[in-house]
Amino acid sequence: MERAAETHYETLGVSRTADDRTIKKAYFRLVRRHPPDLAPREFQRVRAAYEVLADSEARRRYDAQAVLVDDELAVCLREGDAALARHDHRLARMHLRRALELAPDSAAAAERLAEAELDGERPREALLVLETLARGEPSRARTLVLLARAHTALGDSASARAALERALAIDPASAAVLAALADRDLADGRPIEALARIDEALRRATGDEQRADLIVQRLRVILLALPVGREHSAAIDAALSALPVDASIDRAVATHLWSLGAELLRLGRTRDAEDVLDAAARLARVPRVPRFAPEIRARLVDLPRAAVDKLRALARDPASATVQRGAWAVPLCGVLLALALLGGGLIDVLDGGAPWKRGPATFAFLLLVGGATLLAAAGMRLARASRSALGRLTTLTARHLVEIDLDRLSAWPLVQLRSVSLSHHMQSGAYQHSTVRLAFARRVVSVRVRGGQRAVEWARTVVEARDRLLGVIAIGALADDEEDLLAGELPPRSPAQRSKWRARVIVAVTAAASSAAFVFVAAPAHRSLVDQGAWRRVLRAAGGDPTDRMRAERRYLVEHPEGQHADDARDSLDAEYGRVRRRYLAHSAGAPGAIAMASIVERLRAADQPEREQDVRATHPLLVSTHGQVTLARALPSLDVKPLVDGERALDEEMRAALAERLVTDLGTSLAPRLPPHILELSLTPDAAPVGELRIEYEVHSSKERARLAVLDGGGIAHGWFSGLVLSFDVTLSVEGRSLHELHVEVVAEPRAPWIEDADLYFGDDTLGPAALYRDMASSAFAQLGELLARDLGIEWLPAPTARTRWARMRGVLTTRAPTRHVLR
Amino acid sequence: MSIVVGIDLGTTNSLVAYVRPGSRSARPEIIPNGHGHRLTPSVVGVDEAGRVHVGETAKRQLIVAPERTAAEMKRLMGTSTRVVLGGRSYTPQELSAFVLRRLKDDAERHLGERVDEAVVTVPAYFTDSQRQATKDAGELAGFRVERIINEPTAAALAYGIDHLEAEQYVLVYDLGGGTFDVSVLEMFDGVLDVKASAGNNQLGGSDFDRRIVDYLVAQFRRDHGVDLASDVRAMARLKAAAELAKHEVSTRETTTVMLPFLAHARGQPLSLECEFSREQLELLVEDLITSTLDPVDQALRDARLKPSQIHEVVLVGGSSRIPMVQAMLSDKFGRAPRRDVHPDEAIALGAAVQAALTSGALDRGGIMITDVCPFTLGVEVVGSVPGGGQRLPGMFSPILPRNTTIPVERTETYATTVDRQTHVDIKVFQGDSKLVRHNAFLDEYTIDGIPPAPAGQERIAVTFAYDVNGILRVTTRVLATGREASLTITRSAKRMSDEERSVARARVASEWSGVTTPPPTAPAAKTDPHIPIPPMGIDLGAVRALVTNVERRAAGMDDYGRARMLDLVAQMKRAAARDDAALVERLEGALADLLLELG
Repeated sequence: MERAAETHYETLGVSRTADDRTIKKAYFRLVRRHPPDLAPREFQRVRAAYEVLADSEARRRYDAQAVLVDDELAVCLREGDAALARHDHRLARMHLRRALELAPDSAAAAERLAEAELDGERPREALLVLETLARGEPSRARTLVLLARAHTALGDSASARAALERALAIDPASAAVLAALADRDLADGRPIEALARIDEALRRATGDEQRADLIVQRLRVILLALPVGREHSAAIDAALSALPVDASIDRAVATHLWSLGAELLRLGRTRDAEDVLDAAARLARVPRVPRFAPEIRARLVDLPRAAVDKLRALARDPASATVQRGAWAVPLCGVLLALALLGGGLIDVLDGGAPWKRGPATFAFLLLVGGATLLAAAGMRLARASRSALGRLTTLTARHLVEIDLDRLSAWPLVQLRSVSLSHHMQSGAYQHSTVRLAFARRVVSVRVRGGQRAVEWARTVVEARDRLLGVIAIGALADDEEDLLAGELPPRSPAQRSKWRARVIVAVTAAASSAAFVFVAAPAHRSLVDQGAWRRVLRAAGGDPTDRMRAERRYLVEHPEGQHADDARDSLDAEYGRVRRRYLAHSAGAPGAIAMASIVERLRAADQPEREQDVRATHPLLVSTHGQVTLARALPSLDVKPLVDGERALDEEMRAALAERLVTDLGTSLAPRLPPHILELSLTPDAAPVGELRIEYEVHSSKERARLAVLDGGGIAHGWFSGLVLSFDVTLSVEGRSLHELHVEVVAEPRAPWIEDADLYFGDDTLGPAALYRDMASSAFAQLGELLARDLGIEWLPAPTARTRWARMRGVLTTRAPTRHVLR
Repeated sequence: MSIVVGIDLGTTNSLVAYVRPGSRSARPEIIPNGHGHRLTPSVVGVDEAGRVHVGETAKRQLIVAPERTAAEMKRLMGTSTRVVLGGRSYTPQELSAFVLRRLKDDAERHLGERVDEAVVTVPAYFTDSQRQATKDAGELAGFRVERIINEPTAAALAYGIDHLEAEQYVLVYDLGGGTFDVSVLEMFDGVLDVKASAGNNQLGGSDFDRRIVDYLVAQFRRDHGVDLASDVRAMARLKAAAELAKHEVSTRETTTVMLPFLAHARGQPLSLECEFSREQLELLVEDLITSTLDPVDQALRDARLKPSQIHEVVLVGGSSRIPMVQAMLSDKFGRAPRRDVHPDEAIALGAAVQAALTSGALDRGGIMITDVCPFTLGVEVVGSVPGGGQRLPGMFSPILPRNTTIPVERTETYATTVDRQTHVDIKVFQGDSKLVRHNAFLDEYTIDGIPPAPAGQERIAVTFAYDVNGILRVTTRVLATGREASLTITRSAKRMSDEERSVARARVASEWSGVTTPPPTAPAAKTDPHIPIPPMGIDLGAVRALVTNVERRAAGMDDYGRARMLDLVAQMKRAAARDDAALVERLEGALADLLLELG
């Protein structure tokens, strides 16, 4: 594996477990070797390493990150390779781009990325990558070969040839270079030279696989470039007999031959094509290659060979017994579920609280129709399944999913597999475990795996298995197509077939109608059940901490504003607010109470509850003045809170704890204020003489953890890197150098992509993720902070995002000389 | 191998030192000046003949003819102030160049060979422009300035060369004539790793003197009802007396300040005579001295050390002799500061060590040092308020946080702020405030050719490279086009252009050549510099100038004064004829005193 760059440990020449003293010794030793005035570059590197490793906190973070980067790089390169091998250039590109980001100097990553771009028919991008690479490392034959490929793709044969000749000069013995040159020769209409080069390459080839490739290439030259004649079948035979004896190579060669056959088909050389395809079938040991029309055959040869293998395997072993057993459970479960839901609905009807007003007769009818339809639908599925190309049932439920194990992946659940996602979980920077989430049609199964690597491999196995399966299904579909295409050759459909088709249509129509009815009936019932479930959560929370209960109630209200228990929740919350209010009033008639009440008022206003707000205001008339009047500079004089001085008192411990708790429950913030006892002493200067500039100092820290999230999505496989961000703000407010208030705020910024919204949070470093995502996160974090300050301190805050932080990209933007049309101020 | 000297260009005194090549001990030595003194006052004077004097003679002239004499030029370094001496106007760089030239001549005479390269020290807290000005001064004096190093760092080198084996945290407290610096270092295996520096480049012994002068002026007004503030000559005398009093109460409890005939009122000469005690001094300067603790705390904080972790406190700079300073530091660190480093000479000795390292005279296997950039450097940015379109211009975005070990190179990336923006002004500031208006502006330039794009889309990477001499280079790169532009912070408002510099160099050279410096007599290598060297000869020009001056003034004196003066002049002429340099010097002093007495 290639490394990003030297690690700090390598720079200092110490082991990862070195203690502080060893590190210090190493540093001072290296400073001697690279004095700052004579070797500034080396010195800076040594110094950078030392600064991280000498600081235990920084070192811990670095270690955590380094492991991740190593891991990540390895994973990216391997995943990229795997995707390349599957010709999934999109996925490969993503992985390899990331790898290149992690290790910008890695030639291997760059070359592979270029390969992926070439595979994806994006030669321009490939050229860009390769030219950069070739500038840095001009003497890599492989880079030049790829460069030639890119030039060829762009139609620049002269540059391609030049690149290859340079490659040959660098590495005259390389079979790969020779083979590429042979291709070039062939394209340039010089088949004789091409053959000479291939023969030369064959002499130099080392592995059997390479030999096999070259033999096929030779065959290709002969078939494509030499005049049409009978000697071709002899050439094919000769080539086949020259192949090394190895089953795995046979399959690879078969694939090559298939493409060659396809190429010949395109050229209209049907006869040669069939010979080649026959040879391919022989090699792949496919039992029968039907005499398809040329078009069909061309499509077949483009199928992944794995699919063919799987097809063969399935034909030989019609197993999947598990699946068949489970198949019967589908309709059964369906019926039971429907009954349960309808039962729930019925109860609601009897309660009189049902959202629909129909007579019991209608309901009973619906029940009957629904049940019958479900049965019919199940039957239809069975019937259809028995007709499918593979003669197997294709319906599955989540019940089977838990039966997946690593050694014996039962295939069918995978058909319904929509996505596989992988997440690494960190706690305080330390790796905890990884979770593989398999999202099936109706259900998500999470598997927790310790060891990030194993989780990645596991997920890949699943995805690969699924890919193969999709290939199999594609063949199945092809079989259907074939039927249509070859219809002319087949006898007309029998009456039995036609009636079966008609029956199918009837069943389908009935199923559709009854499903609609079923949804109509069952959905409200279902909603009611969900509502019940949510309220039960509230009740569960009720036993414990009142804060938990309030949180649960608020959540319930947000999720079910019209729910059956919404009023209960509101009443309960009201009672709690009242209790809190009384507590504050009891604690202090003065400032702290006012502040706390102010936040409540704000809250109530936000909740649009004017009566209650009025009520609170009436109890605490001073509130009005504590809000919204303070701006950043010269603002304190207008903070007219003078009357509060009478009631001013220090916050005692209990009061502070209570306030902190309130901030959490009432404001829904994760604000953990450290309120100094003198919180209001200064701001309440009696005659409000100008007290000078109010300073708000703050530092923003982005959390250092990060993890990768790869989401492999159902249709085409999507994949990406995402990260979340935890921003914490340390805010100090001071007047004339005296600290008024300090608080620590943590804001969790989540990526808003809908398809990962229920994924775990991924903590991000500043280098990850699309910039726009970060910008949004940052803005929302700042906005949130501003809100908190306004609410808690009555301060209108103009955040100036220049805090000294690692959060470099967000720090601000340059002052400008605006073009004439855009005046800045 | 040519010798590279180390120069401590101080506010009040300057020194030059070197390490003798090939010497085993590798001990730096101070080079005495033509008068045999180790300290050369940083005073430049122009005599009546228009010749430039530096050092003792100039210092004496400071009292006699303050309008033709300049001192404390270091405080003006990096500003565009011009000093007028005898009708001619000089930049601070030129004045400092005269001092350096004096030191250069002294060194050449002492060493008997050309000295063209020097390491010059500056206070750690000197800004970029002050450093540049110092470098310019060196060049004007005919030096190639090999390195600019920080004074506390130099002092630490002087301390460290004697404690190579030590493994400790050291705090250098450098309270000099005009600047205050503090540095925290870690010593390990002969390497001095500077962890943090802080200071105040406008605080030092002269501030104490000024307080004392103010006090004396107030005393005098109270006693005689006469305000001396407008009397330049009296103020010069007061200043000298104040400095002396300060020195004396550092070793004794009290002293008497006596200045006869300081002023005239109603035809009567008035004298100042008062007791001055240590307590009095402490009352006057306590706030200044306590204010030095802020930088000390800041340096400790930046180095992430507690006072108890500091193994040694090293005192440097003349003002660190004040007992109150020592008491305060003992109190703070719970240990008495070290006294084994010579407070006046340590910096020059350290500079000599660095010079020897640079020239190769000292083996690099011995001592070496790293250093830091003591202030935060960054650019002006427009902050933006999330959500709204409101912008906050004039925000400071730091790129190099203070106390970053140098050399260093850091890059930050910024974005454009308005749509279709094609120009960006890069304004470089120094300071710790989040608002640029509280920070010091260094330089600016404009980059253009940014491809028009929506705001925030085009990115510009700004790289700050800060080298070992404390010179900052700013490079910007428009990421989209790869176009680069760079700037070395030189303008600094005060740095001279090449043209100005060559004019100034010629001027320094020409005016300097008017001074008769004693020719090298014996090869210096043979003299042992530890034994004070007798004066090399008589500065006949200076004697003649003094005598002319005295004789001209003698006309307006009373009989007694005239008699004493003429006697002294006669003695002087005889001594000069006998080549008795020591006597001449003593008589020079006596004459100057007499002149002062008579006003």
